[in-house]
Amino acid sequence: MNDTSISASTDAEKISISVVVPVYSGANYLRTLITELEQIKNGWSNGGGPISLIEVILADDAAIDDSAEIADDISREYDWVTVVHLARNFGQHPATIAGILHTSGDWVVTLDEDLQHSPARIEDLLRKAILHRSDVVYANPQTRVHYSYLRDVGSRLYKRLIKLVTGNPNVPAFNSFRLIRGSVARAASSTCGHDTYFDVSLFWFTQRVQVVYMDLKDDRYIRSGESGYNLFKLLSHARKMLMSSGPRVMRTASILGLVIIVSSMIGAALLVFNYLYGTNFNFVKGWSSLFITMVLFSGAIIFFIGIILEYLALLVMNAHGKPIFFTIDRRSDTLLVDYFSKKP
Amino acid sequence: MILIESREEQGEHGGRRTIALFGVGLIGRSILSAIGTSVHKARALSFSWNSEHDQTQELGVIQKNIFPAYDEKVTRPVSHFDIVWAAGQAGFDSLENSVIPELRAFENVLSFSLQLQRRAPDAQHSFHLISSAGGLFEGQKHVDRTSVPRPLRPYGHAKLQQERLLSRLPGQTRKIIYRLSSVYGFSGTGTRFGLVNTIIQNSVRRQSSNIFGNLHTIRDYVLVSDIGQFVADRLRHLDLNSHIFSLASGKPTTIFEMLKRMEKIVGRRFFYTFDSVRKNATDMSFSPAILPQFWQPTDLETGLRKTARSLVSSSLALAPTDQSLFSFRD
Repeated sequence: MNDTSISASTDAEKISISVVVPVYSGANYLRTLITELEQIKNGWSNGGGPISLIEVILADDAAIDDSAEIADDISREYDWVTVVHLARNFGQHPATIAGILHTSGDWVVTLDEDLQHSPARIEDLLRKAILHRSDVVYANPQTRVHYSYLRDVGSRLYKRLIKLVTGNPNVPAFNSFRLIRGSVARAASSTCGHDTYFDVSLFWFTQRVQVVYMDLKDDRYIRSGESGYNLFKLLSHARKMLMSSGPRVMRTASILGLVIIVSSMIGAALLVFNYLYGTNFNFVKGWSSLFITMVLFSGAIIFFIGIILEYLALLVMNAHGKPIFFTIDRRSDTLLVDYFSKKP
Repeated sequence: MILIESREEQGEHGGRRTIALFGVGLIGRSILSAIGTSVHKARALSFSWNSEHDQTQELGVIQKNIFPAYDEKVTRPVSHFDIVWAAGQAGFDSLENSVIPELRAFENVLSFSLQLQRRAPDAQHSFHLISSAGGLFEGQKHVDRTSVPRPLRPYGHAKLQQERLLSRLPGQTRKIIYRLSSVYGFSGTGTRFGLVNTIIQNSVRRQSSNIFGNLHTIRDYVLVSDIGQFVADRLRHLDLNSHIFSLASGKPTTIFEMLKRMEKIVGRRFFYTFDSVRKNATDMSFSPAILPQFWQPTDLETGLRKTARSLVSSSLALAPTDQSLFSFRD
C-alpha cells in the first residue's frame, strides 16, 4: 500500500512560523533565499527550541522573469515550499495577501524576494513580539536603505505626510518585512478589498505594533538604480492609504465648513453691532452683508458635503470589511516567553 | 445502501462490474451522482445500523442480488467488485458508544467482502474506504508526508481503526483509502448539512448559527462534488495498486475568512455565536505536497457559490413561492 503518512513526529507542540514571499522578478535570488530559510528551519528544528518554520509560500505575481518556473522547481524539491500562482499581475500587496491566505502558522513573516530582508532576523522580530506582547512587528532601517539621499529622505517625508493625513501613527513603520500574528494576518487579508491598504487593515485588528531596527539595504536599487517604485506607484499607495483610513480626511471638510460658518457669524455679529452702536469698522453698505451671507452659505454647503462624505466614508469602510470587533488568543506566547527570556 | 451494476462489458475479460455503495449521505450521494446513472443501474437495498443480526441477513440479500441463481449459467460473470464504504452516523463529536456500532458494521462489510472474494476468486476486488483526514490529524498543522495520524477523539480513533482493519484484509483486494478534510457542499436534502449549508440556510431564515470553534480556527475545506468525482474516477480506473489519497484543498481557511466570503456571496450579514470549547478550536491544515497528482480541488469561492446556488435551487423547488427570500450575488 502506498502509504502517504509514515513515521517521524510532527512539531505540533511548537510555535509555527509561515513565511510569505511575493515573487515578481526574483529569478536571481530565490534559490539563495530558500537556502537561507532552510538554514533557519534546520537551526530551529535541530536546536530543540519551541519554534518551527512549517512553510514558505511563494506568491508568484505573474513574474516577469523565470521566477515562476524556479519557484515550481523549488517546491518540488522541498515539501515545505508552496507556490501560489496569481492569474495576472496584481501587485505586491495582493500577492502578499494571497500568500497569507495560504498560511496556517501561528506567526506569519512577509519578506521581499531580493534578499533585502535577512531571514536570520526573523527570530529578532519574534523576540520583540513576544517580549512586548505585540501582534505586529515591522523591520525598519537603522541606516539608509537606498544609498540615495533623495530617495531615502523622500520616503521618510512621504510616510510622515501620510501619517498626518490618515491619523495612523504606524504609517512611518510600514515595511514589507514584517512579522504578524497568524490570526491577525489572515483576518486582515480576508477583509482586504481591491483598494484596501494591507497595513492599514492590520491596524483594524490590533494596536500592538512594534518596530525592530536593523540593516536593510536595497542592493538591487543600489546596484542598478532600478526600483519597483515610481511616482505613480507612490501616489497610488497614498490614495489606497487614504481610502482605507476612514472618515478622517472627510471630517476635515466638515470642520472647515464649521469654521467658515462660525467666521461668517462673527462677521454678521460685528455688522449688527456696527449698525446698532456705530464703530470704527469701515463696512460698505450692502456689500458686507452680501459677502457675509455668501460666506455663511458656502460654509454650510461645505459642512453638509463633509457630512455626506463622512457617511460615504463609513459605507466604504464597511465595504472594505472593517470589523466591529475581533478576538485574539495570545496564550501560546507563554511557550516562547521562557525561551526568549533565557536566550541572550 | 445502493447496489450499482454496469450494463456494459468492462475490463480485459469482459463481464459485469458491481459497486456496493454503503452510505448515501453527503458523500455517498455525490459519488453516486458522479458515477452517472446513464451507464449504470442502481438498486437501493436496506442495510441496518444498529442490529448486527439484521446486518447479516441484509448482507445475504445483497449477495443474492449480486449473484442471482441463474447468474453463472446465463449471464457474464462479475469481473469487478467494488465496495465503497461512505457510511457513518457518527460525527466529529460522537462519543465512544456511538462509534462502536459503526465499527461493527464496518467489520461485517469487510467479512462480506471476503465472502465475495471466495465466491468470485477470478474477479478483481476493490475496497474503497472514505476516511477522515480531519479525524486522523486533528490539531496538526501543515500535515505532510512525514506526519503521523494522532486522533484526539473517538471519531478519529474509529477512522484509524477502520483503516487498520482494511489494511489487514487478506486476499487480493485492492485497498483504497480516501482521507478527506472538511467536506462542504450540497448533495440533496435529507443529508447532514454541515457548516456552510447551515449558515447559508440560517441567514436566509434570519436565524443565528452556533459555530463550534472560533474566528481564527483553521480548517481545510473540500467540495463534496470534487470528492464524488475523484472516487468515481478511481472506480472506473483499472489500477491494481492500493493507495491512500489525502483529499484536501491544501489551502488553510479560517472560519473568519469563510464567513466573510459567504457574506459576500449570499449578500447578507450572518448572525452567529461561537461555542469556543478549546478542543473544537484546534487548527488543521494540509501541505499541498501530499495531494494526489490529478486532484484539482475547486477553489473555495467557486465552491461556495456552487453550494449556495444548489441550496437555493433545492429550496425553491421545495417552496416555489418563497423566491423573494433568496438572492445571492453571482
